[in-house]
Amino acid sequence: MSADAHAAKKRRTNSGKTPQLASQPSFLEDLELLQETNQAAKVEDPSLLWLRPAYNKINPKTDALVFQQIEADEYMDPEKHVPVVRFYGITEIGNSVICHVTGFLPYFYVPAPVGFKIENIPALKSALEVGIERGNSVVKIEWKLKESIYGYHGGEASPFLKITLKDPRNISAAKRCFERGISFPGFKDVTSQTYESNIAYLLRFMIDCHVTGANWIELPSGTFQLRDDPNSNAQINVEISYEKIISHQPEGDWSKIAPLRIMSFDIECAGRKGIFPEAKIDPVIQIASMVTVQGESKPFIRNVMVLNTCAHIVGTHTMSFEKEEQLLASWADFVRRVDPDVVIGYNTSNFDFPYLLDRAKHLGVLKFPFLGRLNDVRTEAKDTKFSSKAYGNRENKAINMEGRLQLDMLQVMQRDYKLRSYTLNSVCAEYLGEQKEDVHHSIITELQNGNEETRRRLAIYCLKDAYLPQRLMDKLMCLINYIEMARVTGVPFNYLLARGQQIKVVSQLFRKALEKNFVIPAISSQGTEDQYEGATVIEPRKGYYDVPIATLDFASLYPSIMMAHNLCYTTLLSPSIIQKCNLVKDVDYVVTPNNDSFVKESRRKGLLPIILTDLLDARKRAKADLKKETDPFKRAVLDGRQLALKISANSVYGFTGATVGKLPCLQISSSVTAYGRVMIEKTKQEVESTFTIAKGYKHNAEVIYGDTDSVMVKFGEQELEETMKLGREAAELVTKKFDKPIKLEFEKVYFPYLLINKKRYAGLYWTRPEKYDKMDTKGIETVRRDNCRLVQSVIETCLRKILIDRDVTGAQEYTKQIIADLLQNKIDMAQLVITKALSKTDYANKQAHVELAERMKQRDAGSAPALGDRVAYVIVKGGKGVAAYDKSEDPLYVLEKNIPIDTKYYLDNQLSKPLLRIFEPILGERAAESLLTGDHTRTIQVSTPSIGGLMKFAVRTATCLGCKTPLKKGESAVCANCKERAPELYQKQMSIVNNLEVRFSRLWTQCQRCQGSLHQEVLCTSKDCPIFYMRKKVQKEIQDSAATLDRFDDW
Amino acid sequence: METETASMDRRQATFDNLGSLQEDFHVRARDYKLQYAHLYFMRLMLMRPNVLRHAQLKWGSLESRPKHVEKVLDVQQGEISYLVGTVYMEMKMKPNILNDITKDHWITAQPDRPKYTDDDDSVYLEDESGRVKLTGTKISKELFVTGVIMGVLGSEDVGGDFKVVDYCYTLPPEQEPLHHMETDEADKYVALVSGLGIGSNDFKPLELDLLTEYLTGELGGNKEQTDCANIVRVIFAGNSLITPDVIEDDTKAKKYGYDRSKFVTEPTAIFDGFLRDVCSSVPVDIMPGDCDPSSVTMPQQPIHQALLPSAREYSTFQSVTNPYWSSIDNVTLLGTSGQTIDDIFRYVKTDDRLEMAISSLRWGHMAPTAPDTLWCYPFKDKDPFIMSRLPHIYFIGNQDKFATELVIGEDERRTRVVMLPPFSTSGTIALVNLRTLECNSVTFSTASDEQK
Repeated sequence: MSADAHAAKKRRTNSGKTPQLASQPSFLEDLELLQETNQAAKVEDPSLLWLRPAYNKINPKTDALVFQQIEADEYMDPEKHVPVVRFYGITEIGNSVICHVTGFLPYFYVPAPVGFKIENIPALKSALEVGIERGNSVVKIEWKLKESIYGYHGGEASPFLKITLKDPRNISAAKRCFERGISFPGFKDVTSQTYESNIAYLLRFMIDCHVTGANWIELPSGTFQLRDDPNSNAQINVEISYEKIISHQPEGDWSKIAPLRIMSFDIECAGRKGIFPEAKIDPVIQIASMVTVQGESKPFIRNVMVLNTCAHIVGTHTMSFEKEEQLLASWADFVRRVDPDVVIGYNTSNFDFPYLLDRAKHLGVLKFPFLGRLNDVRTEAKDTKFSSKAYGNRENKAINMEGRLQLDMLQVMQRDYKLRSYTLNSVCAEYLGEQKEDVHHSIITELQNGNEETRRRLAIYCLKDAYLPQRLMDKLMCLINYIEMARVTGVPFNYLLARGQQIKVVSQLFRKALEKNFVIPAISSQGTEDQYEGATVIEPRKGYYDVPIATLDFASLYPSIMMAHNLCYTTLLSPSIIQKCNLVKDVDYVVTPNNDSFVKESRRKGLLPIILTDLLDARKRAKADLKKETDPFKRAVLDGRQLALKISANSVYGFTGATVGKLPCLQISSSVTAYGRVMIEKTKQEVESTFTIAKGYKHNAEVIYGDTDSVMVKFGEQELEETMKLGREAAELVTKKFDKPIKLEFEKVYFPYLLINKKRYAGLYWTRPEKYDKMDTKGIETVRRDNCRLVQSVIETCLRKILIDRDVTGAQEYTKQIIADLLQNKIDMAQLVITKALSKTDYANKQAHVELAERMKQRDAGSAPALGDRVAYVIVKGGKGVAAYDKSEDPLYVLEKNIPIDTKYYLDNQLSKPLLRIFEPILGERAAESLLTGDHTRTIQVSTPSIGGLMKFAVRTATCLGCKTPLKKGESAVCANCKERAPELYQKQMSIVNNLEVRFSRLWTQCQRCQGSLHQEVLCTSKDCPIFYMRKKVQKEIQDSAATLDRFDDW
Repeated sequence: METETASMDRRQATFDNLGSLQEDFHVRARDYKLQYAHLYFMRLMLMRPNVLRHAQLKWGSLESRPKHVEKVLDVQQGEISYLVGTVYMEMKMKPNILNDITKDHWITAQPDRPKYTDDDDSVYLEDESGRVKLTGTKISKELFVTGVIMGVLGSEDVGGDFKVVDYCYTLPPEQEPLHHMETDEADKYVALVSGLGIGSNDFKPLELDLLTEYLTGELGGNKEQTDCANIVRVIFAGNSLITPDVIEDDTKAKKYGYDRSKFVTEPTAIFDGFLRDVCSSVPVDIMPGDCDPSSVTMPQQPIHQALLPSAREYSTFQSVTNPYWSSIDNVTLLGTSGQTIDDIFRYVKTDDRLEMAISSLRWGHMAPTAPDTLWCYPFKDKDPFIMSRLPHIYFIGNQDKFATELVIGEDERRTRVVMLPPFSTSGTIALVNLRTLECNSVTFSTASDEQK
């Protein structure tokens, strides 16, 4: 071959080493190999990947069907007028299933009225039919012996009537009948409280059939029928009677998770300048989607749909559309074909989905709003309000997509993590450790209106945003943790994001009650504002402790109190029952420190203690399994489970205390906290009376602080190891004084320890004497969002210097230096920026960020922040009497115009309080305050603004770089007197320029890397990025400094 | 001096500073509104034609008839093709300013890692349209650094990565033909010195004196002096001076807002004196290095002449840039003070610096890692680091040890690559024969007080 001949010739002329030529044959082999594999692997049409794996037809007579249900809903059979439960699920090989479960009817209980006999049932039935006013709605009424959960009544069951209805919607009507009073032959106006009438049909079904959230369901062969359902998107459609299903508890092999398809997506809209996109006007221009199979590390579908042409993106299926209608219709079609089980994104519930739905409606894309598994159910955005004590009030949109789970990562983050900012950018910086390129929406339109290359650039940005929620979810294990939570608490997955904490306890309580033959009264929430006394706090002895402080914690304090003292609805005693049953105090029952009485375990073990024991035992098992497990995926599941179990155990106490709740019982919650208070006090006494010099110890121990479930003890020892020994000894000693399973644990030592106030402290955290684990701070505001970054970094650094370096003087020096730097304008602007979201423009009071947005709009409407944007500002100097809100200014404008910063504001309003707080306990009030005044605050430098005021009249003269005297003609850098110092001054200026040049290089190359392209200019304007302002500032500073250096040219 | 008074004359050589080649290193008007994208863009524009020509030569006649794909992102899955673009190395150990500033300020700067390499580094090829990840055994074996313009042959796999079976760099640039001088005349030499390190702890004044005497022809016997007279030029490749870190002057009371740094002038004065002696005898070029009082970003600008008041009086004295192009008797020289190779060193697993220098010749680029990790000025319409001409002598200052190799290419192209150790620690300089390109090292040692 000619190529070979050529090569041979070359070899002869070059006798030296020619490694490239020597490797020629092997490269040709590689090439052949590649050609072969290419032919095999060539994917003609990426959309062929969209469909689910094919399934083999099953024969219901011989085959069983096993699937993991992920969602369930209910509907009324249009012909039989009975409710049907519909499970949506996935088989182990990834086929989709819809399973209709028939035959389960809703019911509730009422206590049998006094004198009621079984013979009265038909009469009651007819009276109830009349009362419900729907005709033929009561299926049956049965006589059952049950016991109310509320209170101990001597332990005997009493007669209840179980009323079964046809239609779940009639339950409340029936309930009202009994509450109003119902009359039937022999009985007049019988009023009675109903039991278990306030639980949703679906949850009732799940409880009675032992189905938990997201568990595996088996339909044995011969028990189910295939269904032909034109309205279903699922591959397998079956029907079964509820008695036949086998629900596998998520244990052992059944804790696996089906290969769920997870779709993560993001949309881009072309907004107009300065206006947040509106669905009626601004088009959707791109939608990027990634689909990943649960448990796999990379998405198997990556595509982007683009309005207009788009250049090819490697590894991505790019689809171009001429019309927006086509784009929307194709995306909806894509969703139906890919058929994801879980749909995730960032702010998809409140932005992407509502926008897409509105836009499709506006454009008349009729096929669009059918995104669920059922072809006949329209996807809509509904407003929901969600109010919870734990999570606060939230207004959200709920998007229905039958059979698909939704996990809006923004909502997850807001729910589960406390952060300074919830922008995708800052969340990613926090958890993925990377900055995200942020393209301002005004640029988005420009990119879209450019050519196929600029649209490609936008598409890459869109793809990245589509992928980040997936990565975030994987990193934080959200899906697995939520699935485990659904399994542990037994509620459907969708409840977890849409509902509060209570429903999880309700689900467990009902399950346990069913097992133990209890019934639960339906209490309409009274909504009283009864406050009961909370946890106790031992008054802190504030100060800086340079000796080890041992911390003793009660493990799972509230759950163990409930278990130890058998506190439950079912054990609560009223004085009349005590009398009636002749119960003896301390033998049959206990009186809590809150003066409530509960029977002892010997009489009856309470339901709540049983639930708690189960939860904590299960957690122990999960943790033990976790230790043994090596498979990372199974470990994640187990870890998610133990976490879910812990959270569940702790939420039981809160449930009993929630006055606006399903079943409040303040006797329980008040008794729990009362026990807690007593225990903390007793611990203090025990420790302080035992560990004394009198009893042979070297020092008298002192409890310096205690809160809720922990006490801090100063044993007086200087040695860590000795303190740890004493801590362990104390924990053991105190544990013996309390009932099982209450356990005081020695966990850690703080050394040194800075106790600022109640719930505010910092210390170095040690669990072994060799090396500290970490620095631990509580209640010291570093994450408050209306603080600038400077506060956080100064406080953190001070604490580190004090606690880790043990250098209080150093911390003072550092603080002084920072304050001096601040007053002399040497602090990086990014450190001073405060950001706030512009959520609405009509705040009652004038607010700094709103005022600034208004001013920016007047300057340039295009780049001004729009509603929903985050406004970044710094506080600048203003004349006397100018209100603080008028002193806010755009950081970029400040940089450009050299506007002086109001450094005093930052010192007085931002830094001083937190600084005083940490230094006061160490130095005392006086000395701490001197930190804020002293010498270092005397020198102030203010930049010369280029606008406003007297600057119009000022003339700039070059001054000597050595002594600042104005220069004469012919002198460019230094005056005659400073001539000798010229080398020194030159080198000084050189080092300034060099420092700036390095900064410039590092900052801009970083942005070049971050945006993922070397050949294109950086467009990113992410104000959350810590280097954004630095980048701008260095550009300006280096230009100025280089000009100064150039003055030496003629030297 | 009385016995042999016959004075010897320093040999002369023609000198040319290669016009625009050298001028490109001077940054006259600085503009920091520019970003680095322009530099990458220009590099690709200027180098792509020659890389492509090489690729066509190499692969154009293969049986499988691979297609040239103009844009990286137009690669079609499963088609064997070749493309040309800029290498980008994704390495998580690269210094990252985001990490550095978000990290707690109290931690003293972490010691610089000698290498950025890590097991999950990946190689990308990028052009103005986008980038693609390169895979394949060829890729995992070879050494790559960011910024090299490269051609690759292979095809896109199902995962969207480009599986590489072969790669190539630019065709070697043109080289001035070497004129063979008449044989009766003795050969001329250029002396290459780096890292005098005046002001550093390693600095030994006696060795510097020896060097002065050697270069000015006052050392040794007749033979040495004759040799010395054949040295037509001395080039100091960086780090002549060690500018001390700014030290806080503890004698001045701490006063907030005032500068307390002290300025040490002594090393500069020693250097000035040394240059005065040498320049009186032989032409001298001084290049700045990373420790000299000059700019830190590449290309480093000449050390200000005013800092060396005595030396500047001599016409034989020239303060030049780093990197530095010149031509002596039509022999083309290119040298850097070492930062270019030091930075490449961090990208690759090997420690063989000579190999890296040879690689950079093959890449046709002296500083590919600028601006990614080697700080550099944001040029707009040129890339001065491209080797648009192949040098005869390519020297790198301030390297770990003396090493040299004559790289022979096609059409009689020859390049003498010289790695210079710092004089302050090794006492070694290099002499390169301008006719034969042979290279020797000369070591001065005060320990035995003798020259080897």
